[in-house]
Amino acid sequence: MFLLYWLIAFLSGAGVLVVEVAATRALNPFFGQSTFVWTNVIGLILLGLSVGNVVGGRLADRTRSPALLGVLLAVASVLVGVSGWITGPVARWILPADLPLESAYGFLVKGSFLAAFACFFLPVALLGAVFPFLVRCASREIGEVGSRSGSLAAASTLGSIVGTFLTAHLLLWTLGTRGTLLAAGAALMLAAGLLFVAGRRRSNAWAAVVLAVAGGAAAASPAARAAVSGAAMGRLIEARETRYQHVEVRARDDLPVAADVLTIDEGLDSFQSVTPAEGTLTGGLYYDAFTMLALARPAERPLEVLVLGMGAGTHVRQLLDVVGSRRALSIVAVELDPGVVAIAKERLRLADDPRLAVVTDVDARPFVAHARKRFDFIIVDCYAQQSFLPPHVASVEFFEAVRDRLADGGEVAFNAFGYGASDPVVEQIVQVLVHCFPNGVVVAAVPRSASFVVYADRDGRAQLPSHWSTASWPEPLQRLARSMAKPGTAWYAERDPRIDPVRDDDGRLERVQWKRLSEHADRLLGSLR
Amino acid sequence: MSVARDEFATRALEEGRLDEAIRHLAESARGADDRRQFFHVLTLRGRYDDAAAVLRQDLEAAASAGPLRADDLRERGNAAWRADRLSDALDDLREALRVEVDLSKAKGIEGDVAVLEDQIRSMKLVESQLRDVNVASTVVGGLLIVAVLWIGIATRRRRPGHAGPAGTPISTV
Repeated sequence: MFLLYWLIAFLSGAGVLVVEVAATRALNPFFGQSTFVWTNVIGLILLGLSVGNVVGGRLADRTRSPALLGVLLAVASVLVGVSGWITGPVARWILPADLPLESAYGFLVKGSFLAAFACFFLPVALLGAVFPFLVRCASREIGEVGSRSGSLAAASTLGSIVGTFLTAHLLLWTLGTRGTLLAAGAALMLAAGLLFVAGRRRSNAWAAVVLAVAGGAAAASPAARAAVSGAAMGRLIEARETRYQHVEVRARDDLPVAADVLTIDEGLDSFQSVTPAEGTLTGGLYYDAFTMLALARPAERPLEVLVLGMGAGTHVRQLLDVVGSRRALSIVAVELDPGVVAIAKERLRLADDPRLAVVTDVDARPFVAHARKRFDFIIVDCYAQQSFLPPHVASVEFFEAVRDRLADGGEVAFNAFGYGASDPVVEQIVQVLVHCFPNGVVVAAVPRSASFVVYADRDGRAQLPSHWSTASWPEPLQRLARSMAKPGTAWYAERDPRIDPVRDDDGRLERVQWKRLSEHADRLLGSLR
Repeated sequence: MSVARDEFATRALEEGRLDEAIRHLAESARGADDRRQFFHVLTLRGRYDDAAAVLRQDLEAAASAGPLRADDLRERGNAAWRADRLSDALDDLREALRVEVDLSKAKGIEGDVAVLEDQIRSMKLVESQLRDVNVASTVVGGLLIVAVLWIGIATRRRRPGHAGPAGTPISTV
């Protein structure tokens, strides 16, 4: 009998961590995967466990019935199984339709808290109630309470370890988020069935087995594996869960050109990559500005380009099309998520090309640190959570490594998103570049957008757009170049003694980014009063 | 740039010395055209609040001499819009639309007003829903704090009696 209790402890411990890891993934398409979302999920799960421990302990003082323990576990398993299915409706109820990123801060932080509470608190609290009950059921005399509770606690912790690794490395990948939670629910229901057998409740046991089998079959079904539609804007073409994140392809007709876009996690009104319905130019979005920088590079030798943060390949498609038709070039493109590359090839017209080498499953930072090759032009476009710059690809140390990868006369260009040129995040990034490239950093505003292209040469002073020779460029790029060449649209950044350039061991950039989002939302909403 | 008068500032802008141009204009811009240039340069640099303040000062001075022209109102409205002051922006643009006599310009202002009204409408929806989310998260947060306090009290309470020696049976209910 003790073996059964040990197994239950193991499974309930595993169940808690399966819920914890899968909950974050279930919330990703709506609230992203920021530190706040993780914190909300972890905090609520620990609190749920704690509440469950106390309630379960009280219950265990009153009765020592395996059948009642089975009922607890059965209810928990049903709630775990359905939690993945109710996350979408709950999140959609919390989030307004077409929520713009600039006013999303409160929704992302508090909304994820509410959704995590509504979907995952109760099942975890019930799982938390299981443990003290198990100790009570498994102990027949006072003298063995210590050893039995120790064994059960160890089993629960072992289960948690297995649940964590199994979920992250196998279940989410093969079954999807909803399938994973259904499978966890089915396993817990099976355990409840065993408890019913031990408690001589045969009809309950049969019902539990039937439910467990049904849950297991549902977990393996394509419907459970299918990704849910998240909070991004535009008509959904396909949603998919990759090993790293939730990705969607959506059709947008509100951009300068009609296009299919790639969105990641919550998406909202932003996008990571753009595939126009025709051609490769994006009607003046920031991607076009990077291609202009590549066109402006000296043409005495084949152009070697490194793209850090390829996404679905908007930059590389443009470079191959526009620059590659004018001069010899080769591109190495780094994209952490192979799932993004796969969906780009299937849905966003990223074609295999002998001039293009795509590196996946490697973060931009280690790639730059370990690469041997040098490049004439490096594009840095590594964003997470829509407008969020991961600090490790925006620090002094990162850009020093990037500088080391530049060939003689090479140029680096960085995509900086900001609410105006005095945006604190833009200022921070610019100061990092000014520190690493003291010869002159150009900040160029991309007209009619919230993007800035910040670029610098390794050895000399980068040219302003007004000095580019654009006569041979495609007409849309000439037009954009004329806009960017207007006085005051691009300028040389000055060293600002008030701002210390951000380094790796510095939490400022993350803080500033959240603060920017919250302050901008407050300003906009406050202006209505 | 048609409004540029200050030669030093104009040259600094062309050479990409935007911050230097701002510093120079902050000290030297006195005439109407230079002040306009100062406003424009501050806008380019993303210092929207400073730009709106410059324009407000100038227009308030002008308003004391008589009613503002539609162009001025439109410019002030757009500056307020860029500085995220949506209600102020709408007031100015509506007033500009009211006083504008040129039909083609009025059409342009009408378009701006429509876009801004749409933005304000959607922001108000967002605001009302955010209020609900704030209330709900405060209630849930309060409940959880009560739960934490309850756990603290419940787990500190001592049960009467003691465990007894090894072999003491645990009663079964």
